[in-house]
Amino acid sequence: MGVLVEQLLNGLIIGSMYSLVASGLSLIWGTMKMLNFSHGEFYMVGGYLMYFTNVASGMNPLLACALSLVAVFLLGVLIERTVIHHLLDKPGWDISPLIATIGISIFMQNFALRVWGERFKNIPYYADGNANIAGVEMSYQRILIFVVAIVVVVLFWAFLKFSRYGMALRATSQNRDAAAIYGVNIYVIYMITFGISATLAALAAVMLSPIYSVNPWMGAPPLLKAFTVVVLGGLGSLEGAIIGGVVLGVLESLGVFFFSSEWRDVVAFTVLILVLWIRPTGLFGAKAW
Amino acid sequence: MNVKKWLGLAAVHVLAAMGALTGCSSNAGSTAEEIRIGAIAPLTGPAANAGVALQQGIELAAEEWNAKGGIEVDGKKLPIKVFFEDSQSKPEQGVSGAEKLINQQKVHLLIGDAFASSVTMSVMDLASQYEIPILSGEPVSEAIAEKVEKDPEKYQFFWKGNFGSSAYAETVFETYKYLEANKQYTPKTKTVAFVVEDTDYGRSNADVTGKLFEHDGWKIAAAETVQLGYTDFYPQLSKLHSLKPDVIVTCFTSVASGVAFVKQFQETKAGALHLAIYYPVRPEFIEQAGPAANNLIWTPLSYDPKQIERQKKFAESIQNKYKVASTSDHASGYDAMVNALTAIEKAKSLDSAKIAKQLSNLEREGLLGKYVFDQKNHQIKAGADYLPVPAAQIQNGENKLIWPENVSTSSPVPQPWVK
Repeated sequence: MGVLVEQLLNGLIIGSMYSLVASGLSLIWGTMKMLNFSHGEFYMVGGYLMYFTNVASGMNPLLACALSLVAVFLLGVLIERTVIHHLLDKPGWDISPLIATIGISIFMQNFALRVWGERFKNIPYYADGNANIAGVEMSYQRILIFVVAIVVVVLFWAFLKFSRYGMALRATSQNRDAAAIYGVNIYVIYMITFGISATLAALAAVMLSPIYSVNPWMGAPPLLKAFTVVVLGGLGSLEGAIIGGVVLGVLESLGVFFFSSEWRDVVAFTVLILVLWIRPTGLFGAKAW
Repeated sequence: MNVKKWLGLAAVHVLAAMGALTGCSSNAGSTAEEIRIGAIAPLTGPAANAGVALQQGIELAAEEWNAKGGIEVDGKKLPIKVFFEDSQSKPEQGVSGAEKLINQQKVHLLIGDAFASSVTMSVMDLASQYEIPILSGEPVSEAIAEKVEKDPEKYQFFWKGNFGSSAYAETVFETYKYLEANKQYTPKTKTVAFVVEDTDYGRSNADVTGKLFEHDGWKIAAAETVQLGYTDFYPQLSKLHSLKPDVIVTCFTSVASGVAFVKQFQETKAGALHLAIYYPVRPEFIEQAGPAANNLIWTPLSYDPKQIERQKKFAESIQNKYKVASTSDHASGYDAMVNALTAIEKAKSLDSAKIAKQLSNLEREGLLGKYVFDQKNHQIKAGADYLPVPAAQIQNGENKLIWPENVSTSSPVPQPWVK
């Protein structure tokens, strides 16, 4: 029983990070109706910036985190303005952002490889030590990851629900033309949406990098997981991204426990196929933001 | 079918036959202006740090041989030129890169794959297809040698530039037996678990090591295979926590996986004896894993320029040329290239059959040991007289040689987490 609880906790923790990365992807789909294949690279840049600010420059982790997130937000805004913005409302919009973001992803990966090198970088834990929760050994770092994920998801939800920007974003998501008529500058909304989405990915990297590592290819696995999560939860649904992330994390952990590591993805994807078979729009359909 | 179609079809066949003949060229009688060596290695992806080091080792060897004036071929001294392709540790990418080097760059010898067993498993078949000598670098999978042993005629142009997984397995098992004999460890359930990467390299090492333990009356509690570059080991460690194996053997080529595993291993307070294959070989492992790396027992510590005299000068050359600390991957790349160039030098020709013959006769002291091929499976022999595969323990942040006892620089210390 104890080991089952331990596996559920493992799944919840990694799942909470899947949720964070997937929320950004889902946010972009919900608002701009495009898939962002460079999302994993914002995750990667977040990890590198945290390494440079926290480890190489010796900055306080909180300040380093804040600086890294602001920088990634600005990078997201810059990329939206310089690349995505010019493709908006042009013929081929259904495919052009997909190709463009694949290009951005390849560029960013190779940029990181050339400039920062192929050697893996490591960030020390933000919180040292272990806690024993109901007989399960858990590092404070992992507890911190879980707490941060919950706090950020709640704040993000409240921001979308109650802030002026959140309302404008939801209005754009529901009907962009009507939103524009009511005075919403949809191009600014798109730009900020892209920046927020990148920041969510970067935050996941900041939290996970001390446990894993920082390298030019670190963005690919979370991107794949995030796509799985948004499909499982329903494209464009925030609730779907959150619940989908946790479900995927728990399924993977239980897959390792009941079968073996090589069956981990098989178990997760079998459930995904079953869900899509029963509910083709995912767990939460295409519910508006 | 009308006459035009028949003529067209005949023309296609003639062209195809000509293409096949060109493709099957064994370089004999060519009037080359340079010796063209191709190399495929993971220059990007989770194993890129090893791939780039291998590339640098190969480049350094070529540079040194060119500084000596190149190699005499058919009575004329020719310079050496090296071409690289990125395999990304993926077989399909490796084959594509190898085909490009063979067909477009017209290389005379291919080092392939310099690193990944899975890639070599696919690339080795090109040796007979194009009749070109192929020498692999670091791959150890037993499956490569088994393929050669089953059909030596087909693989007459393929030579495996490293020893087999059994060498790692023997070191792991014998080191364990040494610890047991010295009362440093007493098993409770005689169970061993493996956590390895899901590649030919990882699976082969787990398989062969597992058989040695089983032969000694042990049981395999779990064999967990994870994808290359995997870093979330909490589910695996929770599972092993419940199975309580006496010994855990891990094997990854990605140092990120190794760092993540040892950190998470300490964090979850696992109580098994931990033996590792390959990943602590990377100098950044100790630096990144920090205190979690202490007391880990691993193999192979075959590159230690602080202790081994013949490796000191090489370490300086790498440092001077690339401004990085040298690793065993640098040395492997260098040795593979020098082995290839030695064979060409002795063949005095770019003819594939003559180069392959000289590869088979190779007997050379390299940086990592003495290179001699086993004629039955074309793989390099391992052991004290050939390529040694010693075990080390990380003690206070430094690698100490602990096995074989006659060459050890330190005695093993008990792993404090073992319950």
